[in-house]
Formats: sequence, C-alpha cells, structure tokens
Amino acid sequence: MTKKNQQQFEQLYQQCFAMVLQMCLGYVKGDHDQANDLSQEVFINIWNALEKFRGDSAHKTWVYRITVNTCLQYLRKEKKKNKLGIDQVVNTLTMEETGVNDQNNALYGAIGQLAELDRLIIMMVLDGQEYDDIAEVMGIQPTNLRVKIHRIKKRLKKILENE
Amino acid sequence: MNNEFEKLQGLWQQNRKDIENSPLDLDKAIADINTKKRFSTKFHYGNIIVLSLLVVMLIAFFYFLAPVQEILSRIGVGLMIGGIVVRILIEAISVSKAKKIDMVDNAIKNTEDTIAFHDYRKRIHGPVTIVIIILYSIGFYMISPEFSKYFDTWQMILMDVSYIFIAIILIFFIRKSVIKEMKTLSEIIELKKEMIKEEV
Repeated sequence: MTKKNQQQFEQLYQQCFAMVLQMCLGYVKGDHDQANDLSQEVFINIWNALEKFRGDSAHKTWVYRITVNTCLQYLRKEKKKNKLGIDQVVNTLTMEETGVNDQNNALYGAIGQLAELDRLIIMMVLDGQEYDDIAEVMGIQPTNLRVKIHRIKKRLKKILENE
Repeated sequence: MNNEFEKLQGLWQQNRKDIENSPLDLDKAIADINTKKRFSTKFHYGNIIVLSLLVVMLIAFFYFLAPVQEILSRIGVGLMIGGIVVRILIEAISVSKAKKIDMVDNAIKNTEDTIAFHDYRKRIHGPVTIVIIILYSIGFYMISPEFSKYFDTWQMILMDVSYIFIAIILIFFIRKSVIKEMKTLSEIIELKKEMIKEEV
C-alpha cells in the first residue's frame, strides 16, 4: 500500500468508523464482539478496494456498499467458523466503550429481529440517507425501495411495541 | 408512524455521536486490521499450502524412500501426484474467483457473483474432487504389485484395507463440504430473491 493510500485509509477510517460500527451493531443484533469483528472485515474490504476509490464526494455511499456486502457475507462465513447463534448473545454484552446504553441496545435488538436485508435498509434510513442512494447501494428500483421501507417501518414499530 | 420513526432516528443519531466521541486508537485499530488481514490470507491459502506439502512429501517418498521401477507403478505415482496437483490448481482458481467478487458493486451484483462463486465451489467439491480421489486410488493400487515384492502379504493387506478406510473418511468430508456449499448457495439465492422481490 502506498503512503497516499495509507493516509486515505486512515482518513476514511476516522470519518466512517462510527457509521460502520453502528451498522454492524444493528446487523448482529447488538452483539459487541461480533460487531467489532464485522467492522474489521468491512475495513479490510475497504483497504482491498482502496485502489478503486476516487475520493469524490460520494465516499459515504462507497463505504455503505462495502459495509452492506460485507454484512451479507458475514453471517454465512461465521456459521462456517462457529456454530454459536447470534440469537444467544443478544443484549447480553454491555457496550459502555461505544456509548451504547439499554435504550440503544433495545433498538439494536429490535433491528436485529428484522430480516437481514431489511436491517441494512432501515439502518441507512435511520442514518438519513437519500432513498435514491440506498436504492443505488442495494441495486434495486427506488420505487420498489420506497414500498420496502414503508413495510420495514411498520414491522419495526410492531416489534418495538411488543417489547 | 412518522413521529415515532423520527424519535428512533434521534436515538440512532445520538448513539452515533456517542460512538464518535468515544476515544479512537487509530494505530491499534490499524494494527488489528493488519493482523486479521494476514490471518484471512493464510485461511484462503490454507488448502493450497496443505496440498502442496502433501505433494512435496509424496515426491520425497517416491524419490528417496521408495523409488518405484515398474512402468505400472510409475503411472500410479503420476496419477496420485497429478491428481493432487490438479486439485491445487482448482483451489488456486477458487481463491482467484473469490478475489474477483467486487465488494464495491451494488448488493444485487455482489450477491449474483457470490452465487456464481458458490456454484463453482459446489462443483469442485463434488464431481471433480470425487474423480481426483478415484484417480488417486487407482494410482495407489497400481503401485501395490511392485510393493508386494518388498512387503509381506499381511502388510500389503493392512496397507490396502487401511486405504479404503481413509478413502471413506475423505468421501465423508467431501460430502459434508458439498452439503455446506449447497446450503450457503440456497441461502444466497433466497437472499437475492428477497432483494429483487417487487413489493406491492
């Protein structure tokens, strides 16, 4: 890796670490250890893809793409490595070091009850991403995405009400 | 519903700020990523390394310890070593295919490429590996006539029968791998269906 790439990576890491970690936390139902492991995988993939990074203003979308793809591959990979189901560790770990309190834990737990794909979509919505950008990251039609988001919001509301 | 969602969004964004405000040890984080990256590379090349060592051991065995003289035996050795070399090549292609899955693509394209990769894995874990094992086994038994000149009958029986057990164990593990690849493949296919499903 060239010095320029190294600097670019460090910059991306500092800018996007919180965003990536938060998405990973939601994806693995708030399990801190798995989220850390997963965010490291995301940054390895960012590192490997750095040559393709043009450094334009859309760097957030670029990082989202890698995060989404890494998340979707992660659970399958993890199943191969160990049989520990993530359901077993939901909310059992405190996350003081990342500022996650009980309220946040409940939110991550609720997001974790959604389907894999829905978790990723709703987290980008919570992040305030434009629907068109989310559609681009997922590779689906914006109209289809809008309907999906509406359905996911309803489902999330139902989950939180039942808790 | 919008109001409640905005509340969730507020909670989410507050947590983002908390994470951002927690201390970040960049040097340690990069060192950890490097360590994980190295481990991941070793994991990818693990099969290739193990199989290459096996080839080296077989060559050393047939060159220094048991240099076979008969044509039949030499063909047998060729089949044994050749089969493993083909398997190494297939593994190398597999690693290269895995690397070609572009993590910067959108999720649909990435999923399609992942499906193609696992489909390839399923094929190489199945028929191709079975053919290689059959060739290896034929090679092994082709050496037996020459070996029988130097070993007692009971030693030959022990060797030939124990090989059958080894082959059964190998086939068991191959079957397990194929089942695993098929399960992964069907999960990803389901995921893709979910992605492209038109919502009404």
